[in-house]
Amino acid sequence: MSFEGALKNKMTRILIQWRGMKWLRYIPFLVNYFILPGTLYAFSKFVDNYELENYFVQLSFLFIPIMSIWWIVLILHEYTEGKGSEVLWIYEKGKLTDVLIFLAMYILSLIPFMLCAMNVLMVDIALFGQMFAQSFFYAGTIYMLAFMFHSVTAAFIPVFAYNLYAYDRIYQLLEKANINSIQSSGYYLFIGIIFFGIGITYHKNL
Amino acid sequence: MENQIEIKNLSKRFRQKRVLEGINCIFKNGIYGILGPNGAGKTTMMRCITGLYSFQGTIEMNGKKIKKTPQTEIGYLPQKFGLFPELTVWEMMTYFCNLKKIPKADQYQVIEDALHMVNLISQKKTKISKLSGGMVRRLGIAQAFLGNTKVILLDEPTAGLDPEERIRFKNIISNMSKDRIIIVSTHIVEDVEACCDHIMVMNRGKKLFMGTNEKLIEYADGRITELKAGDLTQEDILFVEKSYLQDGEKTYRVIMKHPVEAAAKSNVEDGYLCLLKEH
Repeated sequence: MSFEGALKNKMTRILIQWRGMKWLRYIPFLVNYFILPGTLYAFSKFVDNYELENYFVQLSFLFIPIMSIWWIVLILHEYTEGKGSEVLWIYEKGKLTDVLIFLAMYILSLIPFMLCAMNVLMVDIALFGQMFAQSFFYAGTIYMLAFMFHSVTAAFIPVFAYNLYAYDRIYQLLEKANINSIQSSGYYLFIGIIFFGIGITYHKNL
Repeated sequence: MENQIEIKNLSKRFRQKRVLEGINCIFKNGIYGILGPNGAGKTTMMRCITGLYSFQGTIEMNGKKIKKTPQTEIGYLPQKFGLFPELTVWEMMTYFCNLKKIPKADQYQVIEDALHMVNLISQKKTKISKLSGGMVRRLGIAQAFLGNTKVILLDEPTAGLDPEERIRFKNIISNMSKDRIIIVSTHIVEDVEACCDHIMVMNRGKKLFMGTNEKLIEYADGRITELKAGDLTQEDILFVEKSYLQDGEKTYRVIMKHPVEAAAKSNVEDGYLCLLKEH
C-alpha cells in the first residue's frame, strides 16, 4: 500500500474511533471551555486580577493535563477490555500512533483557550508548555499501565491520583521557582518517553 | 494455491502449568475441526498460530518459519467477540478492512460480499449494541473472512447461534474453504462432523488424533452397544454415553473396552469419546 493510501487508512480509522466515542468525546471540550472558564468567571466576582491569574493556573493544572488522556482512555478501552480484543492485537501491531494523534488533537483543541488566556489574563505561554509536557507524561503513563494491567480503569486511577498530588506540588513549585523553568517540563517529557517505551514492550509481549 | 501450516513440537507453558505439549501436525487447504474438552489447549494452540502467544517449537507457513502470522493473511474469530458497541455494522467492517490494509477502492464490495455471506446486509446501518448475540457472532465470522486471507481460525464459532444459523454457518465455511486453510475449534462434535474434512482431537495439551472422520469412527468400531440398567455393572464398560427410553425401559448406549458381537453402528462422537476415555 502506498504512503498516501496508508495515511488515508489511518485517518479513516481515527475518524471511526472518534465516532465510536459517542457523546463522551465532548467531555474535554465541556471541561476546558465551559467548566473551567465558568468557574473562573464566578471567582472573578470576588477576587482581583492577580489572584484570578493564580486561580487560573491552579485550575488549569488540575483539569487540562488529566483531560489530555480522556480520548486515549476511550480508544485503548477496546484494545484492553473489549470483548474479543485479541483479534485487534493480531491485525494492528501498535496503538502508539493513534495515541499520539489523539494527544496532538487535544493540544490543538486547546489553542483557542490558550490564546484567550494569554490575551485576557496575560498568562505566559511557558505555562502551557509545562501543561503539555505533563499531558505527554500522562499519555505515556496511561499507555504503559493500560497494556501492563490490560485495563484502562486500572491505568486511569493512579494517573488521576497523581494528578491530584501533582497539582498541589506544581503550584508550590511555581510559587518558589521561575514560572519559565523548563526543568519540570523536561522531566515530564523524558519520563513520558520512557513510559511509552515500556508500554510498547508490554503491548508486543501479550 | 496449496497453503500449508506445519507445526513442529509446539509447546506452551503458563508459569508452572504446561498447556501444550509437543504438538506436531500439518494443515493444508480444507476445513479442520479441533475437538477437545474444555482446557484441552485448543484456544491456546490457535493463539500460538496467530502469534498472540510466544511458544516453544516452530510454526511454518508455506515453508517460512513464523513467529507471528502476517496480519493480512489471517482471519481470526475469538471465543468472545463484541467490539465497538457504538459503531454501526458497516463502520466496524470498514475499521477491520483498514486494519487488514484492504485498498479503499475495494472496501465497499468486500464488505458487501462479507455481509451478504452472513446474511447481515440488512443490518449494515444498525449499531452493534442493538444486534442480537447470534448476529454479533455472525458479524465476527464476517470480519474473519475479510480480505485475501489464506488462513481462517474460528474459535467456538457456533456459540450462541440457533440451529438455523448453525446450518448457515456450516454452508458458509464449506463455500469459503477453496484455496484456504480453515481451522474450527469446538467441543460440539456435530459441528465438526457436518463440515470438517479432517479432525484433530486434543486433550490435556496433547494431540491424540489427526485424520478423517472415518478414521476417528474406526476407534469405536464394534464397541458400541445398548444395555439395560441391570447390565451396567459389567466390568467391560469403558463409558456410558447416554440413556433413553426404549419400549418403556431405560436403555443405555455404552462404549465397551473391547469389540462385542452385534455392536451398534458407531459415529464420530463415539470415536471421540473412546479416544478421550482411553488417554
